[in-house]
Amino acid sequence: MLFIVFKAGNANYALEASQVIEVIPLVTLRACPGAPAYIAGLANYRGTGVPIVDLGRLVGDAPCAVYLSTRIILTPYAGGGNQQRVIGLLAETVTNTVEREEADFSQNNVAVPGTPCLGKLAVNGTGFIQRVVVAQLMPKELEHMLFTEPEKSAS
Amino acid sequence: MNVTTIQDCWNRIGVQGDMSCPELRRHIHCRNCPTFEQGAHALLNRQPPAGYIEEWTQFLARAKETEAGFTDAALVFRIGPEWLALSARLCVEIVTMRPIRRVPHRSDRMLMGLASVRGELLLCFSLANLLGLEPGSRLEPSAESSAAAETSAAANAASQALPRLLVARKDRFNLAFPVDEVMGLHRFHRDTIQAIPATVAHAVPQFSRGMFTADERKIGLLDDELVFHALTKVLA
Repeated sequence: MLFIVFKAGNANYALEASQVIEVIPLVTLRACPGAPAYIAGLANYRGTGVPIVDLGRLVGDAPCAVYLSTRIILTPYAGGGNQQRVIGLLAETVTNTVEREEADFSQNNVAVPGTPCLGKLAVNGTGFIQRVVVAQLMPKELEHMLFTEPEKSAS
Repeated sequence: MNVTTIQDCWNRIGVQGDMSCPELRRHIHCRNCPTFEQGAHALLNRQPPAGYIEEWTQFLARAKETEAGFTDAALVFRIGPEWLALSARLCVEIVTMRPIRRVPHRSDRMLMGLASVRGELLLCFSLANLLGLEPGSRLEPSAESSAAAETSAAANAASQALPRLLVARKDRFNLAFPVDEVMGLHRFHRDTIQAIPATVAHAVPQFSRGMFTADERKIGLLDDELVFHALTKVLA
């Protein structure tokens, strides 16, 4: 399987390429006032508002640096009740892909309660890359924010 | 990271320098070396130039136009006077024409024999005989009755056309068939496929999903299920 590799909070992560709609450069984002810090803003992607999640903030503690290699990975995000929305993952060093098998991700991480649930690790050179499953990585509150807000404002 | 901090060893001890790097023995050329790769990646660890983010913001805010309207792609080629197309998914490669060796007691009108492509022996079939076309004929302006607008330039191009062997693959079964000329890939929308008039004499309509127009030529889109079934039937 092909994985796209990126950096967030100084660690390497891998997202399955079949989950990637498009990788786009950093664009100007519209701020979302009141949203959690890991929501970098809203991007206008081909006429649709796409919420951008700053993975630097979500898994690390600093926002992604503004570099040419800092890019937005567009991926589908499924909420409850068959709802789906495209979200963008802002990450650093989105320059590489690797070929790995399911079995390569066999190293267990230290499971810390209360932190985002990340996948297992694979050895990559001298370090590790950790598999990311978007649905598990995203905080539960995000699902609420992305899919139930319009109904609230309507009522 | 600053660009000036990059160690440009390829300019000093690599292929651009005095070639004294011990890694060169293993990598042959700097472009195969991981150090060079890291250097290239480091170039991207820079602040974007002025206007870069604004330009991309504007570009990505616009609706995608280029690829809309196409659903399929097909490889367009010619056998005798007929322009045909086969779904691009099935096409493996196009190679120069090479000898096709008969298989004793097995070769017939459909199965021409075996040809070697990259050391692999492939069964060669005659699509021309399947479709009832005369292969190998040059495309002359007078022969192409349907395209009256054929210009002398096009006829010139046709006279220079080289026969090719097209390698196709379906259900992990590779086969090859000779064609007289390859035009290239053509992309189209599924809905633009028209029905072929029933008055066409040869067997093309029988094996086609329809036809489309490209470069003012009428091109028959072959139905890969039917064609592969008919060709491989002779092996049973």
